[in-house]
Amino acid sequence: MTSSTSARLTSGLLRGGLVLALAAMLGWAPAPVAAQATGTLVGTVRDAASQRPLEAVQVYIGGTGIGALTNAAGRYLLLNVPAGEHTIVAEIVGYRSGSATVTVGAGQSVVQDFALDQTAITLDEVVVTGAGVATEKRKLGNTIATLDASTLDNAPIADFSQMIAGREPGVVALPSSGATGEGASIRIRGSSSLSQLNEPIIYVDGIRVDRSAVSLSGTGNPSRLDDIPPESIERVEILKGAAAATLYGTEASNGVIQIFTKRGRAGAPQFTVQADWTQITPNTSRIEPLADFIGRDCGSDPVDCADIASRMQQRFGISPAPYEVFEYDAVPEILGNGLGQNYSASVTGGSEAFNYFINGRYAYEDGIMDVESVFPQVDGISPEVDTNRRAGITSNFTIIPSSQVRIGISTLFSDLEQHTPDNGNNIYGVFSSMLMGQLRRATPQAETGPGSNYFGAPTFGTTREFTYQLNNAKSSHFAGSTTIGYTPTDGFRLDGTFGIDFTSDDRVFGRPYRYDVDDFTNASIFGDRTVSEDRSREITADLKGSWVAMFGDNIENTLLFGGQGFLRQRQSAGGGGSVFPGPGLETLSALANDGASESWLRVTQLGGYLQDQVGLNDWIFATVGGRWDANSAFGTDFETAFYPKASISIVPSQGLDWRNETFSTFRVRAALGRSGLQPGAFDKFTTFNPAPSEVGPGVSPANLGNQGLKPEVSTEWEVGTELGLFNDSWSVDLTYWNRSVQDAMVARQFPVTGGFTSSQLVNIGELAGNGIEASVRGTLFQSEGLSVNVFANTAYLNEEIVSLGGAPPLKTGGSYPRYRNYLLEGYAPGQYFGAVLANVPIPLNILTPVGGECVVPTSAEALDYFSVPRSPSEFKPLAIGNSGFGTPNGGVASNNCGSGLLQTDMGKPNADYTGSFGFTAAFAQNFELAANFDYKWGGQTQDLSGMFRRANAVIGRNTPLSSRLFATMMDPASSAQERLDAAISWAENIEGLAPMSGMNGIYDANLIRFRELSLTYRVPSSIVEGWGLSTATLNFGGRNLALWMPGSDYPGMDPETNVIGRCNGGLNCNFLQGTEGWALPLPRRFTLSTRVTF
Amino acid sequence: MIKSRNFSAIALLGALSLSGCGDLLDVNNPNNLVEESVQLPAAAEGLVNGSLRAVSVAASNVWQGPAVVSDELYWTGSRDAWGQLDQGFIGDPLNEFTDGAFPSLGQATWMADYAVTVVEGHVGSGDAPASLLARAKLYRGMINLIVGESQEDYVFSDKQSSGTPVGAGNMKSVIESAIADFTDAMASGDADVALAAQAMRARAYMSAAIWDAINPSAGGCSLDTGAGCALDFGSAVADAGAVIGDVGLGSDWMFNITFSSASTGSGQHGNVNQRGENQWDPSLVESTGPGATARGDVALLDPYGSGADPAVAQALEQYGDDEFSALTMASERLMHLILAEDALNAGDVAGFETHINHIRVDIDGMPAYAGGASPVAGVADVVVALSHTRRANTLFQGLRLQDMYRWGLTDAKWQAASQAITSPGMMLPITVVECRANENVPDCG
Repeated sequence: MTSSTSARLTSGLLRGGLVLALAAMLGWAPAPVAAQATGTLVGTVRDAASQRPLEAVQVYIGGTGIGALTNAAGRYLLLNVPAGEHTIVAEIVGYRSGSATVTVGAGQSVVQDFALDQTAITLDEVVVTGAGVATEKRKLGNTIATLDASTLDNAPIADFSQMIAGREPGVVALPSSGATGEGASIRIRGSSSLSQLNEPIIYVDGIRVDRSAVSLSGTGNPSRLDDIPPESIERVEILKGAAAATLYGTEASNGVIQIFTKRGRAGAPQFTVQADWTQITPNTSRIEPLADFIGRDCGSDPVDCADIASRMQQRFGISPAPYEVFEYDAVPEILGNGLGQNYSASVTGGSEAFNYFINGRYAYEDGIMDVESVFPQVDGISPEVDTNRRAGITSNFTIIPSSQVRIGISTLFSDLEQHTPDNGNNIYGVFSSMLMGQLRRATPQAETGPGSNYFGAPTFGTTREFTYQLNNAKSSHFAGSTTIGYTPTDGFRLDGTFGIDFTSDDRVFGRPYRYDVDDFTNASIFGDRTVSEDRSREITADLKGSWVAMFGDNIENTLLFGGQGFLRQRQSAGGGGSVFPGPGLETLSALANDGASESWLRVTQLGGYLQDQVGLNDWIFATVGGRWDANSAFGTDFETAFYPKASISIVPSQGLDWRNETFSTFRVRAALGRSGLQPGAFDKFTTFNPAPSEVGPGVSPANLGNQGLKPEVSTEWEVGTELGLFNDSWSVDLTYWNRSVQDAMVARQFPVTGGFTSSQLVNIGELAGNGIEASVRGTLFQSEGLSVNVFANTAYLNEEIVSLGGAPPLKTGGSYPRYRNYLLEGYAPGQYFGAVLANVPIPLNILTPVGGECVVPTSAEALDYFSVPRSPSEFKPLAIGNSGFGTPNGGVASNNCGSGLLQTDMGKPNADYTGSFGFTAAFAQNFELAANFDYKWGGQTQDLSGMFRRANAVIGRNTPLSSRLFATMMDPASSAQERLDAAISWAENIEGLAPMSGMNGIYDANLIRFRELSLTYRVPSSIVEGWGLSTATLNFGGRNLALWMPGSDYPGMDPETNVIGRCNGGLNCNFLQGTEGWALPLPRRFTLSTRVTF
Repeated sequence: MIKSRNFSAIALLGALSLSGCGDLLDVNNPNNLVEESVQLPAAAEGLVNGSLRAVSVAASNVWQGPAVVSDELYWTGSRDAWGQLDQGFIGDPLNEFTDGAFPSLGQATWMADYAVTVVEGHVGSGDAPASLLARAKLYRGMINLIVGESQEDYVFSDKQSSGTPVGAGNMKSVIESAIADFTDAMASGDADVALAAQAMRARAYMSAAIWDAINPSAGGCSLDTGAGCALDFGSAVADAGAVIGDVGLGSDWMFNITFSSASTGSGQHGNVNQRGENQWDPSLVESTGPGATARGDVALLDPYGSGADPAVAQALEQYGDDEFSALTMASERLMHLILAEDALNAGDVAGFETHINHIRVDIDGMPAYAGGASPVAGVADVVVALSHTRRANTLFQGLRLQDMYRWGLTDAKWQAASQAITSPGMMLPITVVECRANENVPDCG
């Protein structure tokens, strides 16, 4: 066997990703071959390092039209091989091709195995997204990331969100919460819009699909993308920005992700069956225990304190003195190990004229909330569970009625049922209720009944009562597409793709009748119910043509043209109300107070594009093109948008006489392009909402309207290079990109006294961004029986709001003061602003204002003030801040001495650097160990739930430190100096709530997460064949195994969680990703998997 | 190689495709009405109804702040901006709740004015009845009165056009504009509208007098002597008398803003009855239950020994336990209070007692008040009678804080540095949501 550099074919149609087409053509080989004296070639293709069988390797005999693909066991079979000597080639992207010379005798069956070496650089990989037609990467001047799903077969991933997390620099999946079923948000190269959803658009097999979240109460919102079973995905292509996504026009400036599902392969049916069992383990290591002292309620009254102490004795086994701080780690009590199960089966097969791939999957997960084990059951009322069930089936059929026509039919159906206990930044949340616990209020009885308060709920309701709140969704998702390819002549091809993506969500939030089983909560104690039904439909019609022609021997020209139409329609209807007449009723019609709602929107986009690519000597490629778009969301003053593009790719290592093995491959590239983002469906209209009054139907002002609305236009250029080192065993990929968003839509707030209180989109902003993406991968070590491949990547991100066009700064959260993220000129989107503690010896505001300013107390004044017990509610930290954003003036910012001055720059939520690194080690022939670490560096995170826990007088002051300081200040036995010291520490470490007087809960939040670990054992073929199987693997994987925060003093529970969850757009959705609040920390997941093929 | 005629064909195909699909790009919005439709005569009633809704929402939202500052509500929940208000810090334009309420006020003032403007046109052209305009003016008067009573300053804008602040010293003019609207509404011929407008005008005259008393400098009164504690309500007297005549003595008539699931809920009641962020002040009603949010017996006692004041019990019942409870704008009780205070101001103690007793005896069935020794040491008996009766009979009507200011009363939770202490008379500010967007309002954070 020999290895050689791949011989490159001139036509992009006949490469890598189109191996099926090749196989089909090979299957249509001329009949006379059978009449000759022939033999058979068989063999196995393996990864040289790990000895893992390689599937879908293209094995062929050059010049004969004979070829086949390997199956899951790496086996291939070439029939009707003419007797004689042949050179047989084995090729697959990501490996050096292998070749061997064999002699086949008539009637003989010759065995020829291959062991292929991995290459770290894949310029020959064929992509289609953004290129319009199947094209090798080396011909494209822009970045396009590809994710080969087969490389993740052994990774501990349960859904698509986990599949793309941490794989590609610049592509960030934000997990949001540890709630079961929670989907991740996806950001590519930061934020390209100030007002519109910053998620990329998603295609599956050529049609656009719903990218929304299924919105439940709080976090725990599933992502539509997770409807797509990972087992059915063949590969994912990611366009990172406008330079690559121009052909997608309006809506594409956040990038494009296209998912390709697996296709059928000719041959006998081949089955793959996989089963995964996952233990989900709560991660409470960063949750501080609850702490309290009973003097908060009883002061020094001996009778009252004795009563409470007696209760504490019964509940916690301690009898504390009035100002003795005691702790209890209550939160873990409602959490327990969860269980996930996943069963998947697929079959592929068929003939050259018709083949198929069908996958079915059932996944069920019961999460880590475990209230049932704490609270006794109550007849007639059940707690909401945290479960996620998905069942789905995907299918792909390929029909090749003639050598000129190829028809593909793809379907996806997914059924989802999600239950999530009320959660998130929510006073009625179960987890948040636990974090609010006030131990001194706890009662010993876990049973229901008036006065039962097992975890010391301070107000709103007991934890048990909140567990009865319903919060669930049932969803169905269907996507179906048909693609017809017609090749009338060599080089000319027409493709039409038509499809529909349909989703249906039924969501329920409700409280049962008299769920106030502890007679505590006042909220809708006679029950309430809200039902929402959302129907979304996305229709795609895509027609395109390509013409590949040679001009002489050196110039290849590829002309691409096409037109697309998208119709997105969403209908929502629902109702809600309160007060059931009695128990057991769960329908809207039973409510005493009810109301209904209905909404509808439709967006139509029509576009066309033209692109031409010229290739010179197959190593210099230049591309120019453009797209025209019309969109129903544009205002009447604006009709169409035009988005141009140009790119160049030069591969000197291919075109020149390149013999350098150290720098074995070298490419440089550059691209410039534009794409857009449309306004909301109805933002152009001045409208009035239906607003019924007590005397009849009415209207109220809704949308100010702007008939001049047009798309915001993102212009991006990038330059980059790829290096293959040491005979391509290592690769380095570097990209610098620069983006400018003009006419950025700003959700401008006009004077609310003008009647229209909602903000209005206006094209007045400008947003700039740039970054560097770098990755390196290669083989660190390789020997017989052991190989180690490593990878590392990083993305540097720099963003700035250049202009808001005169609009006032926009703040997340509206009037809610604790969300500190702003949109402000000269700063990154979502920059934090607040006040900081005054750098003085006694940073306390304890004196009556003099001249409107707070005064720094002298030591004597402070000691005099603290000569008596003081509650932290009686004073404030002495903080300073800016009255103008970014304009230091050192004004005093405390609510006791005026207001405002909360405009000091506190950092930004998006990290400067994100990336991942890891390794894959193959050893002992059949074992593979892989690990993946994610990191973020150079950003800040706000610990909102920690702020409440530390400082809030009603639902907080229950961390060990805050309780100790509070107790010291309140204890009559404390000295004035002890109280003063405690107060200063309070100011420095605790205070942080409204009006953010000096502490904002914003911390550096560098993190490294041990994201994935997997150990795989591949049962030797000698054994599995005895079982009648082709392959069998056993895999043990771990996820979210450890979190380190080097150089950060972040005190929160999990900086990767946030208050907003997977969401559907708007200021908060875009820019609250760096605010942690009341979300379950990401749990650890341990998965045992088996997978067999036969 | 593709030839030039292929380009032409492709271009033509594309052009035909786009032109044929033009209709696809015309998307209507069935969720909302466009402004042209709102301005049609057929939509006039909906416009006026919408004005009422906006006024209702604004009243429920805006009155919360002063209610928490005063001794009507106190903070029991998790969001300490309510605590700031409870401590008397009323002037913070960044306070999340006053800032959150301000847009509803802005929407209501604009909507009420827009409704009047549009309907005036329809009435002028004979396309709408005058009674509809009367309703529109009643609602505009109501919201302007709420503004005048509750705001330290205000600004009237129109869509994207920023208005200029009225000025703290000129806010009485907003009350006077309300009086003009009520006067117009009284002439509508619709008896119910006229009655409501006249009662509201009585309240507006009263509030104008109170505004005088606490602005620009709070003279206040002396609880020790009663001097200056009663105000000359002038024209309110005639209106109050006429309203009582219309509704009948002892009828306990009320003009309420109502809420329901069919229209909208009350923000204030949602916060108190559902979320539990605020609760009735313990001086009014005892708090019970593990969460200190359940209400027990009435705590505000009749100073003349008749036990719990039935007016508070009635208000408690009206307050209910959901977010759909009514808010009272005017009542027979308020009319009697106006007449009583005006009589007291004129030195007519008998007249004062008569009207106080219309409330105590005729409406609440309590023993008559007959004057005499003061039940509160050091405070004039008439002052005790007036202040107690006003407090018990105007609960949650947006009037208590002004009364506390003019009588020099303070809440125990007010901090020494709070504006309620340092600047008595201060009401709600123009908040940050407006001042950031309105170039005519000084930056407030």
